[in-house]
Amino acid sequence: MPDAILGISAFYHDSAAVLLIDGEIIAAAQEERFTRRKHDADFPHHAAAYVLKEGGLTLSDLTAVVFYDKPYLKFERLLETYNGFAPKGLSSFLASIPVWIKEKLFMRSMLKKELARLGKGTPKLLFPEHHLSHAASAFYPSPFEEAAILTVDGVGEWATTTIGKGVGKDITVLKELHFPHSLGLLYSAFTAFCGFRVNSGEYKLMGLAPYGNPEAPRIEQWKQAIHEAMIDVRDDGSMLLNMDYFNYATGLTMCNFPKWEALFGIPPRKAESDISQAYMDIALVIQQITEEIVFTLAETARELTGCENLVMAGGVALNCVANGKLLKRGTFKDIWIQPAAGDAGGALGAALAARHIWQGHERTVHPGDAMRGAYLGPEFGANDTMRVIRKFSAPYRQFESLDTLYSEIGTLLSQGNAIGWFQGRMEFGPRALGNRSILGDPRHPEMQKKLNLKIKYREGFRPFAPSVIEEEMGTWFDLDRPSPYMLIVAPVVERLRNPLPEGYTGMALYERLYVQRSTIPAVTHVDYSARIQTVSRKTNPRYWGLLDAFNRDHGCGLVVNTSFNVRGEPIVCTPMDAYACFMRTEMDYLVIGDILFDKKTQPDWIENDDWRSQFALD
Amino acid sequence: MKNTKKDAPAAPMRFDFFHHSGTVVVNCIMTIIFYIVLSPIAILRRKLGHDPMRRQEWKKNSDSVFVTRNHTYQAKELDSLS
Repeated sequence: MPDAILGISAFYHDSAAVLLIDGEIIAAAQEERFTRRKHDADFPHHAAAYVLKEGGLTLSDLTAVVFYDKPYLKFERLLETYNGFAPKGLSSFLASIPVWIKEKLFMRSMLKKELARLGKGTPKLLFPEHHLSHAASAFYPSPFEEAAILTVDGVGEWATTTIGKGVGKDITVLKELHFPHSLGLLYSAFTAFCGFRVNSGEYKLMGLAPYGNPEAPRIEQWKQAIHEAMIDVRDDGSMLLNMDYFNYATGLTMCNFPKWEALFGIPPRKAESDISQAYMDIALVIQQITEEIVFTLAETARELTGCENLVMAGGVALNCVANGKLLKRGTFKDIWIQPAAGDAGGALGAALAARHIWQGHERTVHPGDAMRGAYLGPEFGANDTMRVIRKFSAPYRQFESLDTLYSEIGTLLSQGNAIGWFQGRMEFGPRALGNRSILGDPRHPEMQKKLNLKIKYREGFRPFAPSVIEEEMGTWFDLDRPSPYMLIVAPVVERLRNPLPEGYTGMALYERLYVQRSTIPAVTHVDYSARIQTVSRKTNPRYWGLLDAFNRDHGCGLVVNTSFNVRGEPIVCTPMDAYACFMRTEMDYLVIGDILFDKKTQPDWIENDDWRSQFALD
Repeated sequence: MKNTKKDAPAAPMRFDFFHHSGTVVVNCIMTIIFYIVLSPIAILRRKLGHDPMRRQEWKKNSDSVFVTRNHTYQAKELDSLS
């Protein structure tokens, strides 16, 4: 009988389910991909049903089900927070305590009830700490026998940051920073101030930061103001926040906006309004502060553990700009970051913690890592695509030979087309890595504009990221090692850069954006940086094959890779999702498996409702 | 016997009324608990030096504000919800 463990994250944001069999990651998926509700927080029934099916198992086959945090510890933190701030906090008290009393305090029975919907069986229920779940997701799949562990997020139970050490199958937590003092919540607060949505807009704040003017006097002024009034950073990277500026402990919003306006001299930005230079500069300031704190935390981790390698997880580990700079600094010989570094990855870590800590099994260290390229979700066959074809009477062309397919797609890319690319198993984590991607030619001067405005329907300032064939990464980027998960930002090599025009930093946002900064403008951000995915032939032969053909036939070993979705929509999961997204946008071609759809020949797309109202803007 | 067809239009209104009344009552009780029970205890505890949010340590010195744990996780810990 296999030893099967199901990991679950749920009830806060980014619910997910993961199945391990005999310690191997068999399947992992986020609930949002099935329900089409971004960041879906409900119990992941669909994801759990999928992973069990992928493993050929039922609930009764499971050794354990592992939930990714400790609810009573979280409740203790909630009560102590009210103790710390009362009589402030009534609105938060009224919003949260009834939910706890009705549901979350009865987590065992709640989980049993939810699991009963999956079938018969009463597996053992386990509850690792939240940051242990993150730490386990970072350490156990990594290629290191021993490593320093740094986890940084908004908050788990009490911990917002932990420094630990992993050796063999053991994880030791050394230091913790406690709520409400949180680097993740600090970044989220600035996300809110800049008019983006918390828990989804942090990435946009990171993308906005390079538009800030590093020479502007207010950069240093604001940095100083933040250090004096908002944050008290200690020598080891631990810190306190001045809660007079933050509402999240006692209220239903992130920030005490009047105090922010008094400090920075600008009001909070209204969502969807134009972005002035002031907000770009604020984004730059908080990005720099975050980087400095992350660097200090890493140095502390090095000092405390003596390890030469670092692993990271927690939402702040998705700040790939900080990651790239941390790698460059050389504090550690190597760094490995869990691709699903946010709460979805907590489901994976919870399951791995059960395997190695609860069961005491030794690790098998994989030379690359154990994540299988993060291709851990469902895949679909030709029959599934045929059902879509029949439903919509969709004209298509099927390729007998993959080489012919690659060659054709390469040509279409070189002609400036935007192509949906749907292959194999769905990715686990926030990034599309070539199995649920929209691709474009990075050399095309209009590609960034086209993808942002005509396909993703998202903010025009947001950069796009490249996938580059691993063998060619040094040709295009200043990167000395693979980056398979788009978690490292590195600069475009100098010889490919174009000099910036005079007065560049004074230009308006969109004027700067459309300056051709390099020979691959669509993936070169305004500061010459790129968030890179290196593609390995072994991990994703189809995607590698396409890039290889594009390189041989057109001299370009990289493509724009953006996730296959529109703004506010989860990444597509099924061929049906892919076809719908293809038809709703101005995408030119769609490839599902070895089948090609040409937009020009497709029948009219008719929907009764306005599909855009389905997806709340993120 | 009640004529359920005649009562039908009023049923959603009655449901809404009682549902919202229930919410109002719960909120009233919770507010009383918050101000009459929780807040005085919280204020007293803080006056006696309890500082769970470490607000008193703001800019006091440059010492680390990490909590030291130095703890290797054990199997039995995963059994419990706390």
